[in-house]
Amino acid sequence: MIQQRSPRVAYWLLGTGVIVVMLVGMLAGSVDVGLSDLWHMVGYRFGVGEERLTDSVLWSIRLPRVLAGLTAGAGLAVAGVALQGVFRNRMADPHLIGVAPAAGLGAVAGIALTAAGGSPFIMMAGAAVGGVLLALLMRRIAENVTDSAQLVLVGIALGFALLALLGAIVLAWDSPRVPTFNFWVFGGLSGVTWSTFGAAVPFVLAGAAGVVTMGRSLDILALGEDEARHLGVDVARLRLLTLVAVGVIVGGVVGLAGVIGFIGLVVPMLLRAWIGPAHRHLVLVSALGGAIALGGLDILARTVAAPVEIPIGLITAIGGAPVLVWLLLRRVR
Amino acid sequence: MTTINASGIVVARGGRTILDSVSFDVAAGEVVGVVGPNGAGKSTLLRVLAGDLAPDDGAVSLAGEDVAAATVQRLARLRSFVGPLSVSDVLFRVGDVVAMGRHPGRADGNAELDGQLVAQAMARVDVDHLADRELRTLSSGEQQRVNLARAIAQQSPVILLDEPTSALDVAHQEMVMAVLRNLAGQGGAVVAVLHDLNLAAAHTDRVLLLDGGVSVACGPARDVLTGPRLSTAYATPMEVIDHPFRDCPLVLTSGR
Repeated sequence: MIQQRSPRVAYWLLGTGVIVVMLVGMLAGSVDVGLSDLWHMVGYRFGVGEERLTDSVLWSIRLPRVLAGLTAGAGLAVAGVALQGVFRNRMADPHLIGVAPAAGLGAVAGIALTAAGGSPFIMMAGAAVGGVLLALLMRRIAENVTDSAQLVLVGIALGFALLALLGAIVLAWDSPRVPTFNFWVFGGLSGVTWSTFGAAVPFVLAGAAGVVTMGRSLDILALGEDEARHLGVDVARLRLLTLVAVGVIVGGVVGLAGVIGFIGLVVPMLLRAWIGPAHRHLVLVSALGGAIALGGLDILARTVAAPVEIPIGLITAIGGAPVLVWLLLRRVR
Repeated sequence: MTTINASGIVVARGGRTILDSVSFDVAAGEVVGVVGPNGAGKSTLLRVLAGDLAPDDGAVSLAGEDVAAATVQRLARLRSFVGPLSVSDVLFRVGDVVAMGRHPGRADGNAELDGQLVAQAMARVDVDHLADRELRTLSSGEQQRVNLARAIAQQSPVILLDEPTSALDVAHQEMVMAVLRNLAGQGGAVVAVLHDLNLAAAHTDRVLLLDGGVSVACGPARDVLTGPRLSTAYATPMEVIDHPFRDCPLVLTSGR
């Protein structure tokens, strides 16, 4: 068992980590930029100095991408914490139990429903609806299974089917309006613009805020459903609201960055072992940890094989799977 | 003053009657033991009293409030419940778990009082020295006492317990029964399902004997726990004598 440490240390370390990832993320890439270029861009945005080529690279391409990586990572980790709390199952994860693939289908439906040109906001809304519907379906399934491992297996099966369906639709449709097969199945942050980032943020923030308000009740639910009810927690309502919040977060994340695994599973597992199970800290610390994880891995995705970019989902799987195996073998909670 | 009122409780499941018109009252200050053989309906009755299970017929009121009409939040201020253990994977520490007992009273917003009540509750059942341990690392007897501490911290007028002593050593059994007596002394109405007939005989004001979902007898232990009645209910020969040291009956199985 890993010794529990003060959450204050975790906040400081992870907060610093987010800033470091952000800085490195801004500086790393195919166009060579330095800190002075970064300061110049900030100055230029405030009306100081003449425009340089690097200003537009940093402002229009790198900054939205870096912020999108941090936001998507934070959202996935918070969604993971919420799912694990509500199903009392540490293997519940937005990708693993099918919420993310369902959000992908919802996003494609959202694109189909909008006129040519499309609206990122409607795509995110479609993704959120898809995510919420699948999360609520999993709630119904959870009522009918007694074994928590069974719930995850059902989710995995559903997730595979939905991901395959999503891939087939995207391949068959083959329209410039629809992001590529790679984006949906392996995730990707290369296409992020201020407009897609701006459309996703309200979903992630609203859902995460919802999860934060339910932290105390999720703590009590850890004792068991009967115990939670005896302590005044309306378990059915808690489940519904938490799953809606998860669907909304995942909708924003998938619309922004595609379907990305492992972050929602590994980050909360590591951090729970570090700071303990209380959701009031775990949700926020996981948000920081998820931001660092995805932000950091995105830097790898676009630098290790430059100029070729490796899909982010491949990197999270290559990095996340061994960590998950290690955690499970060590029986870290 | 009547704190618990159950009248004509009927519960049927799958064509089988689990509780058949069970009625009983518990006054503030009373400890009532519910006894009976396996399948008598004891735990079902407790769940009906707690509002976990809606009866097919009959009604329950706690402190004058109809259980069927009360919200989950309101019920948590009326009754606490110490159920069977299901905490093997709980990562929270003992102090946090007992503090969860203050959740129903959180609207009062008195953190200092909450802290005092939690500390007192842990001290009363001898788990204060375990406050920083994770619940899952405790023995089942220790976990059972933590559950009781959580219920005490809840400060409800009704305390319902399903076999609160099943995992405890003899000394802690006596301690827990003394704590229940003490809670009743402070105005609580306590109902405990007990398998140990001698604990019920020694520590309760009244005993409710259930058999096959029917209330066979309800009253002081000396009146309810008689050899012929117990032998019939448990289908095993039993005798009841005077306890040599205590002013209560002593139940003995006499073998077949």
